[in-house]
Amino acid sequence: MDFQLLFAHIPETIVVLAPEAGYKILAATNTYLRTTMRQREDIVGLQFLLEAYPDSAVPYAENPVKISLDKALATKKTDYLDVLRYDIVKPTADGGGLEERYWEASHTPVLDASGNVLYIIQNTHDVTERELAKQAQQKSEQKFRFMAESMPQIIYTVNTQGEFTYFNQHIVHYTGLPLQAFTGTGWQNIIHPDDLPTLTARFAEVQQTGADLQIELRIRDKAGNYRWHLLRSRQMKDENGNSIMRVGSATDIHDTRLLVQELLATNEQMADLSDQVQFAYQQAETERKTLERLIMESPAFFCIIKGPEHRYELINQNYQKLFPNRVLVNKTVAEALPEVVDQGFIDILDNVYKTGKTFMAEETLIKLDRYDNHQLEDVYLTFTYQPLYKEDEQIIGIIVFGYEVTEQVLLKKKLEELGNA
Amino acid sequence: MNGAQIDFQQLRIKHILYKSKVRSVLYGGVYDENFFTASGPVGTWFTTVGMPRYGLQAEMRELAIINQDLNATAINLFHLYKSGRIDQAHDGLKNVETKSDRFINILSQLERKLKDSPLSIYSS
Repeated sequence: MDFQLLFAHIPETIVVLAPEAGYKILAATNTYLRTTMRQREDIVGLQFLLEAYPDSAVPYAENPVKISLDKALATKKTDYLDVLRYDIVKPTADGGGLEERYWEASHTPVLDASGNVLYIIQNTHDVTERELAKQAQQKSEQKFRFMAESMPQIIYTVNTQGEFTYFNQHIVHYTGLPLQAFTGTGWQNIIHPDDLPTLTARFAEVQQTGADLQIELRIRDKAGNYRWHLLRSRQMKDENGNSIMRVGSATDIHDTRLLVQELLATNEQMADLSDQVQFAYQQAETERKTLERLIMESPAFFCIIKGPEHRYELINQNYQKLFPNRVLVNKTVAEALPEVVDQGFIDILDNVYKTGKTFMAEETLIKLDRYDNHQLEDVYLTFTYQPLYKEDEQIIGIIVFGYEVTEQVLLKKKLEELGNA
Repeated sequence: MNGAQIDFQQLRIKHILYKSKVRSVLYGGVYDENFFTASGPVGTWFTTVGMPRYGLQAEMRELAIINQDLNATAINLFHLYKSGRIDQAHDGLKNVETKSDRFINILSQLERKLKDSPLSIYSS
């Protein structure tokens, strides 16, 4: 078997070096030559880094490749180099220019039977795909971290052991404490002591069950006040359904809670007031009915006339008896009783309405067409005109109260006549 | 203002208080169990005022039914809240609001009907 030929065709980027100062190139695969765009005869026999592939950017002693080779030689174990970016020239057929490429190299010493290093194999892998994926992931992580950092609420993560692994900046802003203050059990210091036992119990519970968590609790702010928060957390799983961590948030609901309680207190007061209104209304109604009965069924006559034009508003049975056939309510005195206009009663009403002075009349004669037959009848009345006031002491009408004394007056007159006879 | 107007104003105010109370329980307020039974303020209104005075009106009977439904909804939300499903309980306030809108609509209908009707069945 032609191992020389076989080696040259291994589809890997391999170069073999001598274990000596300068690391002379002993062999290289075709892939290596193609990748580095060199011919075999141009590099074999040259010192690897000093002659064949010098790097002018780094002094030889600090070249990471040289350091790794030294290490592999000294430890006699494979040494891995950090990922390197080494862009390769694209064929002009593919548009030319450089193509972004990442490489990972290893230096493996080849030992003889007594453990001496015979060769060092440098094997370089194209890890561009893995690198780009890693970069994309980092970018995406940065994006989500930025989002979490900018959230106006506390965001955190907890690992599968139940330890807090991340808090966003909001917790620093809210508590005024540095992030280090929350490591270990430090976070417990900002939880209200009354809420802590339930919280730790629920934390342990959901850590076991993987259930969603929602709990209201008080968290201390930088001024030392405890504000109510709604804490939520949810388990995050990998594609196989295994728990990776829990992601949580705490939202300040303090003002909402206060608002709701204030609203309740206001509505309770309103309900109390409305009960009082109801009670007062019932009481007023009872009193009004008693008064109404008293007035309407009183043996005296009574009426209320409103306004400067003296319009009847309320009359009782006895007042109606003075004019049995007339409709009085909503008419003015002058309209309802045209016969009294010339007898001076309207003037007296005007005066009471204007001055507020009560007018009292005793056994006063008034001529009334009682039965609407144009026959004026002598009627004697004892009565008062009393002003009716509004709440602001303004006169709005007149209360008429009195009784008919015709029979008594006529009797008296008859007695006098008899006495004179 | 007449007696019927005051009666309905009372129910309206007690209903608003009821809603406030539901919301307060779901925001950490004290749960007053009695308030949400037939002997709470709204329940008492129905048994002492609503049914005796206006029980013949179909709207009043409907109001009583909505009120019971509302109460069942509220108690369900309290269970959610107490079992730690706080978001779900808060979300359920939407249902309370929908039922409350219906309650207030029917109450207003009844108010208008009794106000316009010369044969008000209410006499105090």
